[in-house]
Amino acid sequence: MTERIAERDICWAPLVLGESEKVRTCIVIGVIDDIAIVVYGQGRPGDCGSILVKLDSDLGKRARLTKDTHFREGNVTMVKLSQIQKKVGVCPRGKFLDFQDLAERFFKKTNPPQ
Amino acid sequence: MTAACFAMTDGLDQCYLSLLSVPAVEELVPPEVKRRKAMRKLQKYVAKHLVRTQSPEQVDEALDALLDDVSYVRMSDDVPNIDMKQALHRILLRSTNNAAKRFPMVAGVIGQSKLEHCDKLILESLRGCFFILSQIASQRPDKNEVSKTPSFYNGPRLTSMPSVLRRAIYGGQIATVCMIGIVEAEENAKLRTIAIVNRLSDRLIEGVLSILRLLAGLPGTDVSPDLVRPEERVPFDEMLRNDKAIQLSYAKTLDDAKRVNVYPYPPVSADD
Repeated sequence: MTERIAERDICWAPLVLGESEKVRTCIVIGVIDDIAIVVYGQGRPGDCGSILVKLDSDLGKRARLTKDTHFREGNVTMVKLSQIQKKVGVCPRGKFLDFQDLAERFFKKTNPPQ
Repeated sequence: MTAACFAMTDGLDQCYLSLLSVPAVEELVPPEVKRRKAMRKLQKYVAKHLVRTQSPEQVDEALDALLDDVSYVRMSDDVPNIDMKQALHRILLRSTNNAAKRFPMVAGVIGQSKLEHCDKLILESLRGCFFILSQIASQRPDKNEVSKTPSFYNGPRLTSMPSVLRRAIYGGQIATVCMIGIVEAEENAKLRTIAIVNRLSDRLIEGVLSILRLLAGLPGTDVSPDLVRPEERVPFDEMLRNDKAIQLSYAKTLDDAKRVNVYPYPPVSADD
């Protein structure tokens, strides 16, 4: 993919989770060098809080989600920019603040302040 | 902390972009008249987007879309700069809390008390903005220095600033569009629907409050407890400490991942 990836972009990227690889919708939280910090979406929210993006919402339209998708705190990961298959939209600013908070909570939990 | 104040005043500058379209023409000094003309162009553009909306959700979508709209951004950039500190000083001196008189048509739609509440919040945040500008005017580095230091800390960063500050700046940007919309609604009957004006005033209140909560947490500010209760104030030092911890955690996660060449994929349930 040659398109430039930036903060707030919504992309599709194949993620290896457990033993299987699946192309998932990702919201780009930040880009450093050749790595993007993303929150990826999943069909079920699991047992922790998540941001539900519905198909008929503005974000849903822009991202062309195939089903209602949950983005949860545990779903923060990093992908190489070369892995990203397609940019499908841009997250609205207001909603993006929620995703940034979600990523911050993840990093705070990963390495709690001493 | 100073860097954070710079970022905040940049956001506040945007928030009060529309401010000078409010006073009557005869009260304006020449640079403000020029600014007002550019603001009216912006008003018409905002109206074009808002007039199609029919529900609060659609108003929200239109507001967010405007912030990403290239023409809107360009028109905002074209609004001539003025001496913000001087303008605020004059506005605060002549403020009379008579929003309902200045906006009788809007008051007729959302009610006098709500409109006056909006006005009170705006004036309070202007006082805070004036305080910050007065405090840091002498400390402000030259323009080149500012552009070289967009972040508070060196090294890789997850985001450019703490979450509370981001929300306040976003709140300021949204409040600006709402203020422009409300000013236009006074003259434009097509915008004066309950769905539009009510939502604009709600978002304006929400946006200005996000700024006021932050301003109230700054040492030396004097935000009325009637508007922001003590428990709602953002402790500024704590906010910066918290942000630094997140950035360090982020940098460590990134370093760890690079070292072993494996990124921290979390476990996913089988039914996902």
